[in-house]
Amino acid sequence: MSIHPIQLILLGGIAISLVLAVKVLRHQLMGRLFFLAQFLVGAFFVLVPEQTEFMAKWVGVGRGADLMFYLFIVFTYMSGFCVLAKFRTLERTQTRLVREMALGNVRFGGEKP
Amino acid sequence: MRTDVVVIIPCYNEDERLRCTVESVVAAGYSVIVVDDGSEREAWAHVKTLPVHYLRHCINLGQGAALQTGMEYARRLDVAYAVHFDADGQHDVADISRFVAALEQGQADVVIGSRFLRPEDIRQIPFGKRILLRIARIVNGLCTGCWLSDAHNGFRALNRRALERICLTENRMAHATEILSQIKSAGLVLKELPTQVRYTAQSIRKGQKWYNSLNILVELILNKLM
Repeated sequence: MSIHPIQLILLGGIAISLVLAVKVLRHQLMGRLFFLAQFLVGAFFVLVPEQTEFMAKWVGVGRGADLMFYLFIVFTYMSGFCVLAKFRTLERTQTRLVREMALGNVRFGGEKP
Repeated sequence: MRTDVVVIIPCYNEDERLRCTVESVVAAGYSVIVVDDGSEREAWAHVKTLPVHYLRHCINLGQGAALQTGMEYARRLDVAYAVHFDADGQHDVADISRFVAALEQGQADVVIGSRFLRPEDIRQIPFGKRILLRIARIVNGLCTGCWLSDAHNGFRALNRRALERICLTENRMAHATEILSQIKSAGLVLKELPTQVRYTAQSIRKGQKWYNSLNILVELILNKLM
């Protein structure tokens, strides 16, 4: 099996993404598994691109490239959703912090005797 | 002064109207909690000579967050009843006693004001806002199962049972729908009472824009999914 330069470039790119994702998601097993799955699927189709045609026909899509594009859209939406969920968790943590500060610094108005 | 009733007034960038509102509530004999939601200039300057409990968010979080902070503090004060009241003078202080009386008589756990129960109150609502509230009523009903006549009225009174069970997580205006959802899931009894809302040019300018309804709907959907 001969390796084309574009395959090396793509494999390198997704390998770097995997390393960075695993590093950032240090204690998040599901996140790491999610990116590992993307890497494995991506690496597989980069190394044996003809399999995309077989898979595409199997699931009823015209071309392998179209199947890859659809999978890309799905993964992008899932990743975006995960980021949004993370933002909401951060917002709740921020709210909790601001609230605790407010509750710990109550002032009482009124004329001083 | 009724120390068993506390009026929670969230505020953001309010001017002297805040002082007028707080003065009227204090004059009526109620304890007041002012929650300054990260105003650019602290609201403390307007209320420091009045007998209030003043809390301040260091950043702006939203009215829902300010109300929740006020409710958490009210729980610590061990009050029997808590009232949500707008800072801009739109609500009528005289209605507080009527709302609290309904709670004292055991008619409900939560009393919410409605602008749509009396013709004279409906006439006060600007036409565009009236249409928006009618649509919001349908959205609220579908999302929460609570079919109220007024979808987003900020004038509410809660008894201790409701105060302990309601915990708002929606920081901004979607809290008004979230509170209905929580009332229903906690099995609390809800009642609507008529109330008038006074609209001024300033309050209309500062009030909700029509497109906020879309933001609220998106927030509710995201909250259900995540």
